[in-house]
Amino acid sequence: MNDVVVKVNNLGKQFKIYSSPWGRALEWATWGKKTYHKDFGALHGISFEVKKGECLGIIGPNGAGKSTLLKILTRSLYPTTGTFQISGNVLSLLELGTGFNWELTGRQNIYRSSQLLGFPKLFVSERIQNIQEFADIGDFFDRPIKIYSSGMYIRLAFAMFVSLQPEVLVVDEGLAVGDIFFQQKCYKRLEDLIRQGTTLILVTHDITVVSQFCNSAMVLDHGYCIFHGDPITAIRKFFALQKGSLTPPLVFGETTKGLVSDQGSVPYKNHGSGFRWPSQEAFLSLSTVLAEGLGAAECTAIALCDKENNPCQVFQMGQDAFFYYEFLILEDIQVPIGGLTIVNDKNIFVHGKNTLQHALEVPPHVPKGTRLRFRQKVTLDVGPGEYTFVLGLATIDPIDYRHAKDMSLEALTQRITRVLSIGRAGHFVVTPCRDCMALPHHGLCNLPGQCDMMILLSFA
Amino acid sequence: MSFYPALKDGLSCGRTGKVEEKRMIRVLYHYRRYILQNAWNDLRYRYAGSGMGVIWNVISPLAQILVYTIVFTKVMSIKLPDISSEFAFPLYLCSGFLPWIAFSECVLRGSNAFLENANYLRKMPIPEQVFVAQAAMSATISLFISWVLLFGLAITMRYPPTWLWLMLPLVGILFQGFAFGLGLLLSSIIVFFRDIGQLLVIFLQIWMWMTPIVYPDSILPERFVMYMRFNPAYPFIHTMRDLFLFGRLPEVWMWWMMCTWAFTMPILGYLVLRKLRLEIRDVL
Repeated sequence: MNDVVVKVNNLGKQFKIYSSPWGRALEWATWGKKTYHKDFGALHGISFEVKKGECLGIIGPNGAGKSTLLKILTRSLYPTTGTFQISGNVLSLLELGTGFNWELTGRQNIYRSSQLLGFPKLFVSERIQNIQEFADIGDFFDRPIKIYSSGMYIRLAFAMFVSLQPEVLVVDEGLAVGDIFFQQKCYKRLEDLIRQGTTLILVTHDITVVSQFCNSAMVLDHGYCIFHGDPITAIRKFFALQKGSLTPPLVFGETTKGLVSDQGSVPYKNHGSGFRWPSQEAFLSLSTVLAEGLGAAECTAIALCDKENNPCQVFQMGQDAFFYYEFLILEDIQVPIGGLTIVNDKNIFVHGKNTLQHALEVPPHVPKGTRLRFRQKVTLDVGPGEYTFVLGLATIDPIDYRHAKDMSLEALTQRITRVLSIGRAGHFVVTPCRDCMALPHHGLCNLPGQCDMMILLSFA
Repeated sequence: MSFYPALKDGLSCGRTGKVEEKRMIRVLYHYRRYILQNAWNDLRYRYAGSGMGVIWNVISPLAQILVYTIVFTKVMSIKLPDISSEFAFPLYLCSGFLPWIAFSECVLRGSNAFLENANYLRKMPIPEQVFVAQAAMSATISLFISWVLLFGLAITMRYPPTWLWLMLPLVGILFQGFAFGLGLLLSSIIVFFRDIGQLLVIFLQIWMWMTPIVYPDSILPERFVMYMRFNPAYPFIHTMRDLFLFGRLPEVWMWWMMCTWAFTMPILGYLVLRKLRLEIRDVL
């Protein structure tokens, strides 16, 4: 029982929206009998608990109420309804540098702000060395912060926060600061803090951080908590939200009724080598895809699974992902080419491969009414991060197809006709391996390679 | 390992719609170091970056006093009835004007405290009244400093110090308490109606000239003297002048007036703040 550090019970927040400032005056004048405002509900009935040394992630689309919740927890906003209890002191990275005085030096500011936050001078004196080292801004530490660069400012503030060892630390998107090395240092320090018993509440859009750090995660949408539980499921729910739909299987079930579920009742015969089509839950919503094409085909199903064929959108580095997709052919086409493109969060084209490159056995032509199903396995040997994928269908003349190997790239490209491309087909997250300490590789992707070493001893 | 118990119990937001009672005095006591330090820093760094720095705190009231002295003694040649010293007018002026400067600064900055510190209020769990108290404190400190200078000036002018001078700080604190209350009251309202801030500047000007501060009581027409008892600033100014200049202890009703204003105003201000507190941070 003692373990619960943060306890939130049925928290709600309403803002009053007045169309003009006189509305409030009129309301006061009538002693509140008449109302001239509309209530805007920013939070509704939020309840949760966080135990000591745990990390709670809060995710949700913009305007979901995440920051409002954090502000209430740090007591800089008062809730309209509900209660919360936090044992111990709370620091929030919302406050990053708010207490700083431009004229004072970094060191003076550390003392000043930490006293403001309720830490005695002696306590700070013991840690000032630590803070200085962590901030790593050299001589600037003893110069007025008005001459700091914005990066230095943030470093100083962050160094102060993590060194004060609060019982509860609230982080709001705050970690996208400084250069990459400083960021890494920040994350490492956060891990240390958690190990030392600090409770962390993390609001972020960076899904990989949630999956890596958090013991549990909460998904907020329009002020409601729509999910609270394990981070992986939370990320799934969050993705479902971003796709602008309800739960994906529901939507899918309506659009392609009977197609996936029961093979026998559908007048389709399987040609070529068969594979197991995933269960309904794996299918992503098609309502938000960006289909572009000539109308000769449409995409009827997209699914993403792990190697056990379970629906999955969060993979660890190096795991296999199975992409399933189905096209309904509306006009006769020639040799079909299906393909997949993976793009990372910085819109860099990470990987793309199609059936041509996989040297698949394909029919010379596909009559209309056919359903083409693809399964594509991709080993996600890529760096951690968020990825999206694009699907495509193209066609090529059977003769060209046979001679594809002999053709130049330009010639081949010319002969391929794009039939359909499906943008925003879906997204997934690659996380660092949870159990192993070291990353299998650094950077964007793993390149096959080998390493040897020779030891030359000197006989001195 | 918690340093500030009040952060735990005193400040936690409690039951529905009702912020748990944070007793004003306790909160102010709890943040006393912050208030003092900030008030001090406020004075120290208000003119930071300028060549003369802190000295400006003294120069600007000094310049005003000089102007009023010249205007009233040389241009309008007003004579003071009770004292005959050649330098009487500057001393007369200072004894009323310095507290008034502190008072009006306290009201102005106090009422503006929430807007001025919106940055902190938006992000930090510091109770609202702390910022008003900070403004009041910095005004009080500068009042005390200017008094010390005034005493020095008076003594060099061979104006004999009396034991009654020791009562000045008490009256000054009562006056500032009244100003703090007024600032507290206005600060909560100004957040919602910002025009009041502009009105206040004008109102304080009028108020100053309605009170015998730069001119002597004696030039007030008889029928106005009666109304002075409704002017909250009057008993304070009058008492301080009596103590400093004329070596008189004020009458009991003066003390009554001062204590009433000094204690009811903060309570009133606090009641208003308590009523509006839930929304103040929402609109900042």
